[in-house]
Amino acid sequence: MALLQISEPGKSTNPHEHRLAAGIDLGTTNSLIATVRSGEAIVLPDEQGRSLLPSVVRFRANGNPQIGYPALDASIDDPMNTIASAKRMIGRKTADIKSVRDQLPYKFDDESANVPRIITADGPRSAIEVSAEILTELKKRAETSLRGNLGGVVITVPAYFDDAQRQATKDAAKLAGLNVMRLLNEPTAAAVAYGLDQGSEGIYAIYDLGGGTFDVSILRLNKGVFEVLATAGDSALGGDDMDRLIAEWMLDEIDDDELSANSHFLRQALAAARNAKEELTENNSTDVSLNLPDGSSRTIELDRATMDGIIAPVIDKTLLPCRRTLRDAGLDKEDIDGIVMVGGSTRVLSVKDKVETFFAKELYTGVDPDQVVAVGAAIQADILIGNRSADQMLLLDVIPLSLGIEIMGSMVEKIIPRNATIPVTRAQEFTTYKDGQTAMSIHVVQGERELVSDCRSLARFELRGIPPLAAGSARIKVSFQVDADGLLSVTAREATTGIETQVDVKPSYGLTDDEIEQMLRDSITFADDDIHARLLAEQRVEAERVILAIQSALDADGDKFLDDNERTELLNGIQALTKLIANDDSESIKQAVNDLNQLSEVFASRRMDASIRSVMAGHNINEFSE
Amino acid sequence: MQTTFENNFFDLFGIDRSYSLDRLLLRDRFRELQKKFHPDNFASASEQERRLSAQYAALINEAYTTLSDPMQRGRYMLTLHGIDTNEVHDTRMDPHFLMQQIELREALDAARSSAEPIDALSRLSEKVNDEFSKREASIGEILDNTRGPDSDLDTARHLVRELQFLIRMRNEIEETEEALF
Repeated sequence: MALLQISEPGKSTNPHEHRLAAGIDLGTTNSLIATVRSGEAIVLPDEQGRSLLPSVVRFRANGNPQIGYPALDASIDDPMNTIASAKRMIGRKTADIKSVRDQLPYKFDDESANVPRIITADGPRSAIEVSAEILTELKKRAETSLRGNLGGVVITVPAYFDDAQRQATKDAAKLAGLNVMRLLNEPTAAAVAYGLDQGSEGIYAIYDLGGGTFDVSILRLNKGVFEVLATAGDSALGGDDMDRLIAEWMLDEIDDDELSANSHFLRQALAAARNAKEELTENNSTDVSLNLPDGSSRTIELDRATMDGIIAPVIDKTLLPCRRTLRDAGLDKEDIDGIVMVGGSTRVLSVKDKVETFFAKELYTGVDPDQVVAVGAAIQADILIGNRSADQMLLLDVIPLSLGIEIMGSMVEKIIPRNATIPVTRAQEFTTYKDGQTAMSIHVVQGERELVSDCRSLARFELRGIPPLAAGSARIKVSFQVDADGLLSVTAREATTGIETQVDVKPSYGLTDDEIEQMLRDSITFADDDIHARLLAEQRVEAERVILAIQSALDADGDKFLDDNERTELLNGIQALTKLIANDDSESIKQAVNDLNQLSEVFASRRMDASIRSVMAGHNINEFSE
Repeated sequence: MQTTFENNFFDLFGIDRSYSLDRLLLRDRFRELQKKFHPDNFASASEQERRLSAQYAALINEAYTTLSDPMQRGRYMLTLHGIDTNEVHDTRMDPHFLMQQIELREALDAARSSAEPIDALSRLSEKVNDEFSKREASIGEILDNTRGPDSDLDTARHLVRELQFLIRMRNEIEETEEALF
């Protein structure tokens, strides 16, 4: 392992040093990785010069999975072990993906209720693991091409992804050993790629129809601020659904009942449907050839008008979210300045036609709809890692679905409404209903409906350590925080005694931290890699990051906010951590990082406080000069 | 520390404490603050600073949401006067207003089944917006111009509650409209 370079305490490392960062578009059909090089965002191609990586993984008995094109090529011959469109299953329970499951050839491991797993030649695999393989492949691609380790990445997710789907995506990144600086909503990423390119101002709708997800976001762009006004969508709607409808039409044309039970033939029909759909963006008619199981072949002609009729239900289904975003943003169609078309499925001509008719506004299709999301993510990654000033751009995003809690009668009480700008915090007070009650359970759900059963169950929070008081006299203030990634966390405090209550989270979906750790240990990807070496490397990077952050804050205004004692204490903390980094004990580094973070608390809050005061003082000056 | 600003959102944005505030100035100030405090600016800062930035950014968002919305702004300004509009025990409403609500509801039902539902709904929506604006103006007059007797503030409190009813009505009209497509 390469030795880490640590600067002498008191001397900051070069703040202008370029750190490697990338934006990743983890798509249903294809994935991409992009970076900013010499001020320009570029998509990184593989060794054959191909920028797309098909989001397909084939698990093999030898434990060495195929990822991307080789897996895609094998998908017809080995459909049971070749997993495509994992994004449609990520963060979902077995029961949720029933409709998807019926369309897929895979065998599911029904035992695991929380995370459905597909039985492959290499054991049961979850969508999280499939996504981790894709991310690992992209990471390799970037690190080879950039000749260095990625310091951090921004991964895009559909704006309409709920908390469970976002968390699962983050878990996949953790398995792949990536440092996720931000989960960025795909339409917002696209707006960044467009907006910064063209210096656009005004209100834009981003219509993003991918392989398996649909989002529409309305943003106000002004002087580098991208303010999402509203978002809506359907996280299980996309080009895949068009392919399926076209394939069903083909089966009807062939009129052989046995074919629909043949997974090998279904894969072939889906691939043919997708080809035909792509052909018809250029031509008025196309011939589809299918090899039947009996060895004969069949050619069917499909013209564009027929296809438009077949796929119309999918496109019509996207218009309802379009109406809803307008309504939630408090706008009329006339207020929109332009429509940005994103996602491979917007190449379909009748999609363009219907969207143009609906909004009656100009469509922007200038940037490659497959690449625009990754490019936007790369630009944000470059800012977050500190390669360019954050002053130039600010992204203000929203939470796509309301968060609520279960109350009496299995009803939902909304705590945070959909389209609230994130980060957002809301507090709610609860009380006990029994004398001496020391624990309570809070069920958090996400969705717009009134009944708990119609919403998505996110987690049950157990509050423990409530001081035993008379019924109704304890006041437990529970804070719900949604961070800039759109992820929820909960803290609780008893208001009269100030006692912090312990919050135990039982996620309704996804993996627990222990499970992730176990998967890391079991992971094929890291079989030749000592898990301890990896944890140590991660802790060292984190320690280095913390030292750099605190050191540069000290350099900037340590004199202003700290007395000599406080300064010395912090410097000692830095020195202690620096020494530990050289050792091989990841636990003691972790502990020292925590200690140093604690130690810097006072300094951090004084700096922030001063900062907000200086902004406010600035206002007063402006007011006099106006 | 931040409790200083929790108590007055107007101070946070450096704008006058007035109901009829300058929306564009508020928006500019909001952006200016977020450009400084949004977690994106602290992605490589210490954990403490990241945590604080998320807290500040959430507070700035809450303050902006509250002040941008006519109903929430009214409610907030009344709490600054020590009046809580959310008190459940007081459910008295102006009988005229209640009458009007019943009429609006009947009109919504009629619009649903009318021959030209879209037109009927947009007429209804105009009427609701009209009633909304009237109350907004009255609330502004009370909150901005008078330090007057408590009865005025009580009128403002009733008007704010009426805004809540009108917002609910507005949502129902929009949902009905959506269901037509």
